[in-house]
Amino acid sequence: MRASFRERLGRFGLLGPAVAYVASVAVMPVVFTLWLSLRKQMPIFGISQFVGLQNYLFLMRDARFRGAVGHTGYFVLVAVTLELTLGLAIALLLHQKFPGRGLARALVLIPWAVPSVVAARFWEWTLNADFGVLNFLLRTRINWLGDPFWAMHAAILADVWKTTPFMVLLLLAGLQVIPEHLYRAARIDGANSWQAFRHITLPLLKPIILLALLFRTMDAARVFDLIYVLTGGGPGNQTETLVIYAYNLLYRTLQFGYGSSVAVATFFFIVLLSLAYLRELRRTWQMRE
Amino acid sequence: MQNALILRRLLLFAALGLILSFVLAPFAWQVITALKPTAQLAELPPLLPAHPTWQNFGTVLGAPGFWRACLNSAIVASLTVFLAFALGVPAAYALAKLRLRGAQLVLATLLCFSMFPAIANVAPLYLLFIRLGIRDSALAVVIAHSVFAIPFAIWTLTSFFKEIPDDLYRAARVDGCSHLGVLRHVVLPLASPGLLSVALLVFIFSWNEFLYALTLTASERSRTLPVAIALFPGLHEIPWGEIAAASVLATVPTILLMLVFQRRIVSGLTTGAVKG
Amino acid sequence: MGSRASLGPRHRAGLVVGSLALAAISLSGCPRRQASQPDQRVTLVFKHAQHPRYAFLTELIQRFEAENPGIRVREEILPASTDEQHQFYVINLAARAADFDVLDMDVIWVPEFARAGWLMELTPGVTEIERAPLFPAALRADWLEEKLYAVPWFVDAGVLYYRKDLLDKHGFLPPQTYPELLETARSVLTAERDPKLTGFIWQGKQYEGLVCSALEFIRGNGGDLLREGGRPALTEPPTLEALHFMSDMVRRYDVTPPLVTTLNEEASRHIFQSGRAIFMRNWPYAWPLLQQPGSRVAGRIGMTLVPHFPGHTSTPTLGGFHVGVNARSPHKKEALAFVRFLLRYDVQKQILLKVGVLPAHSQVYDDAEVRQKLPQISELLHSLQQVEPRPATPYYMMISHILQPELSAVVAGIRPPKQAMRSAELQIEHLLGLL
Repeated sequence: MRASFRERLGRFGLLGPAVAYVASVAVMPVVFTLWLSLRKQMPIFGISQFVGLQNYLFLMRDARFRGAVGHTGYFVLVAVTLELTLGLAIALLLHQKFPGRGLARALVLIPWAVPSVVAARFWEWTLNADFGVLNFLLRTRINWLGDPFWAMHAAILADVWKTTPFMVLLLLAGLQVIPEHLYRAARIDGANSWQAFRHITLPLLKPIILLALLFRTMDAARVFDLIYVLTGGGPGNQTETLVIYAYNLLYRTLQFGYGSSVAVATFFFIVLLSLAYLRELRRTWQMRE
Repeated sequence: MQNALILRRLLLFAALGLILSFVLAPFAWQVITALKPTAQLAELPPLLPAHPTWQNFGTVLGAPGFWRACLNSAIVASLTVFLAFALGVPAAYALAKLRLRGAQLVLATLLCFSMFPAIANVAPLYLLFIRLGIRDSALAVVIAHSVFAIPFAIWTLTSFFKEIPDDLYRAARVDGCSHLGVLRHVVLPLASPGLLSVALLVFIFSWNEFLYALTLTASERSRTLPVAIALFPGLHEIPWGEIAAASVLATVPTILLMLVFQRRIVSGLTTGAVKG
Repeated sequence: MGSRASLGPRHRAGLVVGSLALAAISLSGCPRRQASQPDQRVTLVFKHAQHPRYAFLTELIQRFEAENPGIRVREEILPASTDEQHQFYVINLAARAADFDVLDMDVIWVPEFARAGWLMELTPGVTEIERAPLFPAALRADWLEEKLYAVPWFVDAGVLYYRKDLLDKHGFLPPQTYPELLETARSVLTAERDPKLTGFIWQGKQYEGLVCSALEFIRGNGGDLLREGGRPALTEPPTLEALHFMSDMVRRYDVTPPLVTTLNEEASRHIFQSGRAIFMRNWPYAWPLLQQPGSRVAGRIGMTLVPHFPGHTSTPTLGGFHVGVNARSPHKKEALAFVRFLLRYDVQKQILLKVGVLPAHSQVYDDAEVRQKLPQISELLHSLQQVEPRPATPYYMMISHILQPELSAVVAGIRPPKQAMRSAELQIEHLLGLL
């Protein structure tokens, strides 16, 4: 019995600090935002009253909110898919042995290392239809950031460039953990590279892939700086995402109550997206045990 | 046989070349922009400046508060990594190796709280820090950053720790190792690629984070590098050359870190440690 | 085996000690706001946006400190992005923090902050005499219910830049009306036959600058955003006509490039500076940059009033920043003294000559030294005398939030002006009804 108690104490000692820390710092802002979302709070006009779920009811009728959901969903879908595909391909490549591998690995990390506050402005500069270097190299005058169609895709391009290294790093670390002897055994059995990839690499990499997808999806759904700098949510609000809409409501128009409800809605949107990954991840871990 | 090998090699390098150009071209363009004289920033052609100048780099390096901002960023990022590991490693270990009821729930809840959009969190956190009297300090920024870093570290490290075969873990426990001992002698060495990757990612995240760093700092004393760069523009004017130079300089330390640590990330499980 | 562990116990201990030390360093010197320093001096905190030549602002502040030995002024700088400044002020003022005494505000925030009760009343502290030389259009935003809550310390007005060399070459005078501008641009474009040259660029990105540009078209046709009484006037014929013209410039006449929907101040400045535009609407800040050695258009440009439509007058949009005092400041008397210092003639003159922004004190523009050093100042004075502020209502930020996407939709050709403005009007009326 005593050992069991010590065991349990040991476990609390291992988990406790992390949980306590996150709980004490992160819970308060979330609870505060939830509380605000149930109110009509406009300090400019001295309005501060409890309105229950009225904000959320209005959200459902708000065309601008629906647009934001659509734009965010599209961005997440396309960007994350591209980042995973590209990231996996690059990670597999960098997993091979070749001279200069170390340097290549370090260089691939550069986009992730550039401060995002600069990267967004830099892409705004590069994608300018008149003096941007992209149009100069392509010998065209595509209005990347000002055309309703191109604007979202230009933002996706910038995001893919910036965050693929994150995927690469995680996937590369995951590839390192796969034991060499499995591949050797497969080759002895006569399997080719593609079969080795499908039956050894992918299954063993699955947890890391799911994890990388999870974090990237969470981040992509919360995209703000990049699009805000590139297009301001335009043209004609065609690239306004959920967080941009929430930001405008909170800090431009000082509608703290309604803005908070958009933030909470964004949170639930992310939770929904993540649930699929989480469930699959749990299944994979359970299968291993 | 030889030809197939050479072909493979060629394909490899071609693919590598393509990837590296995609990754590096924008950065190279930033470097070129940083070397262009101010009056010709938006001129295309020429792609390369006829008279490249170091002036932008000079202005940035000589800007008051730049070096202090670099130091602050380094402190904040290092402390964030330390905190993420100090709290995250034991927690990930517990979640990965010990059969804990409700472990998944704990994990998921931690994750939930870090998923909340930062723009909604920043105001209440800021007000809390004012009441605590730590506004305008690196500590406030570290606390804010680690709220995101810790769940990320726990989740990722849990996954890496789970890769370590249970036999090893059980063998060490049978030998009488305490949890800390198992951590030290079995888990950490074997998971070092994952550890270093997580450390690097957390460091870079903290080094580059902007929103919290901007809101929670007010003066040169605690200002971090991204905020210092955001202060370059004037009312309407945006000194592109200087911003490009600053961004190049801000990227270099993290690349150096990666160069130093990537060798460690390479090595995987030692042969002989796992049998079957 | 143990040597490969990355966190050995000794390393751990060292890290703990080291980081505690670092944390201690970063914690130390934390600013606790006290009523007065041990040496009995009052410290004012002046929160303001970044300026390129802020070293000169610091000089002026030192002069204030020399003249007022009991007061020290500490500057805290915010990024130039007005969004970030607004966010900072909102968080602090809504929380009733007293972290700063004097604040530097964009003109469009003043009615909002005043209505929220966040600003200290400046009358009668700032006297009638001190206010008289300030541009009346700028002061209009500072009054709420007969009380003054802020004063302008520098102003801004939209101007039209033109390529003097191109106009001279083809025998045109700088246009005064938009139809004239259109004609001139089309003729020059046809004659020059340069595929890279465009006619007229302005700020068309979806942000506040778009409202500034659009207002010059709208008001130049006798229209406006709001009528007396605060009701929206967006669907009235003069407004719709002006918006149709804006859209036609892009789509029908090919005088404005479609990429105008991506342009902010700097992007348009760069295009003009590379010689690829005949006309540009921008703020006066661009003039010294366009004239700097190395610029393709140095010595070949002119500046004039923004155009208008026939039968109406030129109405540049007012910009600029105002100073106010935090209503929760513990040093109201000293803050007021600092505000009045900033309005002084000699200080305003230095703000123009050294810091390089347009002062709010109108008499500075007649100063002999100023006229000698900055010959284009008379043109700027002309603009400042005709300038109109954006609607000085506490609802302005909300209106702008609704209007920006709709204006952007018009410029990008996504929606016709009538539909866009109808939608904006509905949203504004809904908002006003909610309040």
